[in-house]
Amino acid sequence: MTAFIIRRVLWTIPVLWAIATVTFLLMHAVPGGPFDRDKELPATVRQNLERKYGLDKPLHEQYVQYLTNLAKGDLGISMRQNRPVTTIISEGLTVSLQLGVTAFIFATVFGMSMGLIAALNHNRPGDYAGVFVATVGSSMPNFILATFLVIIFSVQLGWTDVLGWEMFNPRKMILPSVALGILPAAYIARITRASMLEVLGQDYIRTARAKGLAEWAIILRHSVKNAMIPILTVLGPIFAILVTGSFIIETSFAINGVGRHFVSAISSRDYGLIMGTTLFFALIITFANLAVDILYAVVDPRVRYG
Amino acid sequence: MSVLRNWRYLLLSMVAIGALVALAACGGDDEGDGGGGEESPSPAAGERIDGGTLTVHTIEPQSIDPHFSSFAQDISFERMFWRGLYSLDTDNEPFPAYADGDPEVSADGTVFTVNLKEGALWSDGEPLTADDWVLGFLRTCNPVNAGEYQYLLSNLAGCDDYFNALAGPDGDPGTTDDNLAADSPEVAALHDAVGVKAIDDTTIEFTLANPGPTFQTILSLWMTFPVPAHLLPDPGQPWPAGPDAVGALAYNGPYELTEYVAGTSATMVSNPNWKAEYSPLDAVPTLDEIQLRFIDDHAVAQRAYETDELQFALADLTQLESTVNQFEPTGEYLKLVRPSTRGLQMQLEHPPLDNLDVRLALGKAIDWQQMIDRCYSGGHEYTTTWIPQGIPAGQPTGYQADLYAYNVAEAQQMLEDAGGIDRELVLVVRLGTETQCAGAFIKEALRTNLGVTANLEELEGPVRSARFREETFDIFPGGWIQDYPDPENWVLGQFDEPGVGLNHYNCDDPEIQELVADNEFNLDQAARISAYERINEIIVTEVCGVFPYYHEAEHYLVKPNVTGLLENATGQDASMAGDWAIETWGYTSQ
Repeated sequence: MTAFIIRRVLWTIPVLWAIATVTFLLMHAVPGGPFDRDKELPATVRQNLERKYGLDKPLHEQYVQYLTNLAKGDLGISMRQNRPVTTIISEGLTVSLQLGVTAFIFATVFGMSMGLIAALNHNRPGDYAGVFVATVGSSMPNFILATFLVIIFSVQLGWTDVLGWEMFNPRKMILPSVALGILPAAYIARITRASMLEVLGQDYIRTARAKGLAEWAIILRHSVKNAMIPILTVLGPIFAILVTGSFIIETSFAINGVGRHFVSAISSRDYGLIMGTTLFFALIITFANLAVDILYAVVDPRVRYG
Repeated sequence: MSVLRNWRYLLLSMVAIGALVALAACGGDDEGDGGGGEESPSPAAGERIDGGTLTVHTIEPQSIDPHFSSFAQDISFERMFWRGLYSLDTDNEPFPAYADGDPEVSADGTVFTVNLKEGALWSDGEPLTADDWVLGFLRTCNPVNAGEYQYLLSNLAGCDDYFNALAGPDGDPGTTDDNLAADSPEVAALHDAVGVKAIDDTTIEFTLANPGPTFQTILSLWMTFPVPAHLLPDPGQPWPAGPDAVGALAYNGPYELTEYVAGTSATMVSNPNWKAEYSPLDAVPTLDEIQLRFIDDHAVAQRAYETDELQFALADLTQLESTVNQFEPTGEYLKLVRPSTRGLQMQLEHPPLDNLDVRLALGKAIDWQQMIDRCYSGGHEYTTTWIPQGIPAGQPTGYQADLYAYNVAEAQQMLEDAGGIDRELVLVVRLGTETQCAGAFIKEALRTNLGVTANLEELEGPVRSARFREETFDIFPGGWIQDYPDPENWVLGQFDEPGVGLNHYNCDDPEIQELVADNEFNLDQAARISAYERINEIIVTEVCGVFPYYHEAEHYLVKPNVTGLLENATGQDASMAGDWAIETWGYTSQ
């Protein structure tokens, strides 16, 4: 297992290099640059700006310089904010991580609960209710859900705040977490239901019941654990997506997360921030997948890595 | 398993969700000290009271460096913390803020001497001297700083030469050998040659390349704000960015920055060394604190206004009608027409757009008021003038109304007489709900009313701007937002030289060029303004690259017990109502 982990970690280096190279080339290939504005800048201003940010050098020199800096852990400067990209990402990451983890917990607990309830009440009202909630959750765009939630719970009832994020302050935590987590919750609910239904139909479950085992023991010890493999498969990517921020949810609640930076960096051609956020997301997704692979082995003794 | 037990699972889940929401309801509210006045004694209703925290909506500045910035939200932010030698008053006249009276101007109009008021201090108690002001100009002219509004100091002797010194071979070399190294002796000499110097601690002398009829107005603008030389002695030194600025800068404006949370908020308290004599409105701050909340989405800000998390918000244009109905009766709504004109720009080098009748036909075939109503919720002010009323040489919105009137039959006839359009036009618009709607509206109107096909290209902002710069468009909704209230700001770099500056529609009118040449440095203000009046007339009647259709308006919501924002809202506002006079913001008793 240790060798497997080391090998996978080492693999991230060429993966990140490939992503950095492709992103760098694409970024410079798309039309429009960081200094293309409505109010066009005079030629000398543009040249001074390009010089300031090293964009006056040939592309290959910029590329080599970027990789050299990257190797030292320097992601460069944001051309729009004039601040180090690492600082901007770390500020946003703190918030996105808190929001993402909270939403992940909500999505996992709520989704699995709904899936379990649906599976244990197959073709009965509990099943219909679970499927209904899962369908609504997966079909409603989160910006619409966020708006609905804010209008009902903030504007009408005054129970929660519209703006910002603050850990352990329920007025600021609940709506962004629910709005962000509802879609993955619906997805988890459907996977859980399907997986549980399959497991509950297995012979060993029937045997356990025949032996008079308590229902809770059958569900918790024999069904849930064996139904976890497909659920774990989706939890890794879901975790990665949630903790890397959501432009829509962060904008809807005026939260300074890293997701907002990613989108605004692209639209403003902030080269440093585009590269930084892309590599950061790649890193998170790579490690989330690695974590899932390790969890497979924990949950299923048949899985072994050489 | 029994049905009863399964229902228990369901009920338990529902109870858990309910408990979660109820928990939120019980949580403490640490935001929205909206009733800033509530803690104060209660004088008569409507009377100004001291104290309180005002939480207002704005867009986060991209830079807080006044010698670098170009975005409206940046300029708005900077004027809260720094002020110039002059500040424009409500009539757009230069008021001596830190200057002691008007400048002494040499007979030829090229040397301006400004005396400073005695005893001025930075917020940290250090004296504010002529050297601090000189350093501000040197920072703006410094090529390493790459200030985006340096060109407004082009008339300051040597400023262009210094700024262009590092530009590469494609740059405008001016009178210098460009492409120099930043630390070369030549660049140091150019730095020393910039026409600004401190005669003594309270006297500054400016030497201009040409007479400066608008130079006193320029001295009120952000790129001339002083530098705390005791903290940033080198003109090439970086200005601390938002969060790094707290404790690293000193301020000469009405407020000082005490906290900056990137992407979230900035907090400020009054500058202890600010005096009423620096304010055109003779005002000092009365609030304990102002908190700026950075919110990109106006709809989010409006909801936060409704929950009292904000006392001021820019209203959401997409729900303008209901907003007006809800908030106008309570006096909380304000519409402010900005000194900004949008129009249909046409590429004059692409036939048949070089034909005036074709340009007029295109403009007259579109019902612009209907476009404003449909795509902008009626939020902007329909116009037919380029330079708006309220600015010298500006005209009212009905200027040349007959010439520009929506008239399909007349447009069809004009187009037919001009030989028609035998090709498809390239219509370039920016991605965005309103702008895409406008693009579709224009396309459909041209198709329906004139039978002209316009290929609509909806592009991201930078791509659209690049297309404009490269002149690869036929028609292009665009426009101008004023930097300072003088007609030259509406003409120079836009209509005087084809292909240069923003003149990518290639307006090439000899009379405009002659009028600009004769009047750019004309100290006879009446003659100068008269010349710009004529230029505006030519732009409009000749459709010299642009067919104006609206002045942009902003829509604001302000709580009834807040004063200073609505009262002082003018065209000078950069980003928020009354943001040029933040020292007047405060609470009144309800």
